[in-house]
Amino acid sequence: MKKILVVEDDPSMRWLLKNLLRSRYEIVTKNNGLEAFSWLSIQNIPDLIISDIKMPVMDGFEFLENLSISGLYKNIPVIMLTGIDEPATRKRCYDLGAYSYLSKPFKPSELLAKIAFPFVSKMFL
Amino acid sequence: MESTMHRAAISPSENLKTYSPIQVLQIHKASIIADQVSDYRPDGVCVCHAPLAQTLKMAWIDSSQIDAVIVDTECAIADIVSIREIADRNGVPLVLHTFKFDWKAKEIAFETGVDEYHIGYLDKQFIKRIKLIKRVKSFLNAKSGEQQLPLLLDQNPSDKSWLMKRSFDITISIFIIILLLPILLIVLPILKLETKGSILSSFKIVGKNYKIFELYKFKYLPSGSDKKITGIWQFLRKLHLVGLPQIINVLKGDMSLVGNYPILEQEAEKFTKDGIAWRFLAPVGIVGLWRFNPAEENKTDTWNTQQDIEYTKANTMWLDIRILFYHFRNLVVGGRDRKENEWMPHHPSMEDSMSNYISKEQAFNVATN
Repeated sequence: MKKILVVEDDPSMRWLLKNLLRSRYEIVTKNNGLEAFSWLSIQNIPDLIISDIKMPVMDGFEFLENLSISGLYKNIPVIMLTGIDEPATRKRCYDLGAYSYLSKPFKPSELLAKIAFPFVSKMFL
Repeated sequence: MESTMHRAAISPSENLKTYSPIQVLQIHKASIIADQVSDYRPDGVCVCHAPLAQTLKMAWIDSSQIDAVIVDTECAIADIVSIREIADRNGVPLVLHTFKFDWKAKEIAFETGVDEYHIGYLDKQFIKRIKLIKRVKSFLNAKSGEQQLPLLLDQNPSDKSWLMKRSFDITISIFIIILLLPILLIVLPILKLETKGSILSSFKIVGKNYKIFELYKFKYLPSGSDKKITGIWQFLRKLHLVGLPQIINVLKGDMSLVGNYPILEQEAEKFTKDGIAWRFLAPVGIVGLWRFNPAEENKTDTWNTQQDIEYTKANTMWLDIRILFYHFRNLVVGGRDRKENEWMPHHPSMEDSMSNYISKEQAFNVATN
């Protein structure tokens, strides 16, 4: 079963994402970028990451940038799932190396399709 | 022989401290390469060199003077593991470094458990990573030192009374069917004749845990091209029995007698956002807080959503019984009593959550407008 790391500060969204995905994927949830990196640092490697942007301690931009410049994590596809629906934010995420971008509220079917695509196409191998 | 590492790492010159944002100790397998003097890289990394054999013997790296230790793939896996142990003990990040991406190096990085695999020059990105690794290390140290408290944020609204709620649903549903059996035995054959086919219509509704199911209602238009609303349906409507087939949904476990407002799949997609996603934690209900709308004409999605979240957060058996009782009372009396203070419990958690949600929304609107 593929492992997905969900980085999200809102407890209701964490619960919803876990619930939507747990029948197909193994889910690990973390509150912010720093907690996510702490989990990664103890030799955990997810197959895909879903991250919010507005988070305390370490936001989605810093988290994404650090993933992209790391030789260990740069090949992990990252989907940014955020309440911000602005072209500038979207562009910044893609520039920082995001694989995809979805704004909240989101269609669960769309998210599932975006998650499945890298695994089917093997584009990140 | 006094090593370069000894000079650079243990007693760095004042110059190194002033001009270099980070200092790195590069470990070489060959001692000849290791004997070169410290060098400065354009982006502000100062590299001092040390031979592998001596580093292993010393088992000592000073984290106050060295920001990171670098090894390359020349070193054996066992040696990298030994260096990692030394670095871990002293809280110094260990980085495996190659100039070009190499799958084998990446595998070695995972196998040996180094903190990072860096590709290319020791540039600004390298500095950024080292700083973050140090931050993560101190975060982990601080976390292991303190008592692990359960995260308040992770305490979901209660879902404990599920079994009791399910038993209650089944018992009351069977009771309602038995009670209405005489009427149904007369009405259903007539409805079957009037609709000229199936007596049920269905809608795709999003229920508890975002599970999509078919919600049943009595059909009001006959099959085929005839668009005349059936007379028996209007009769059922007067008796508030159009939604009675939902009892089948309740018995199947798709929904509950008491719960949230039923919303269609495309509508549900508007609720997948911060704070209000909780509404999917409770089941859809035939009745619910949303039935006690103060004014039908003011019915809005926001009001319903507010009631749904309120119900999800409260969700007790006692509340279900009171909602059912007041709903039946309203049906009999014909009024549309809104929930009153004396029977509706006060939920501070709910108010906090809603006000947070509303203020977040407002802040977001202000930011985006």
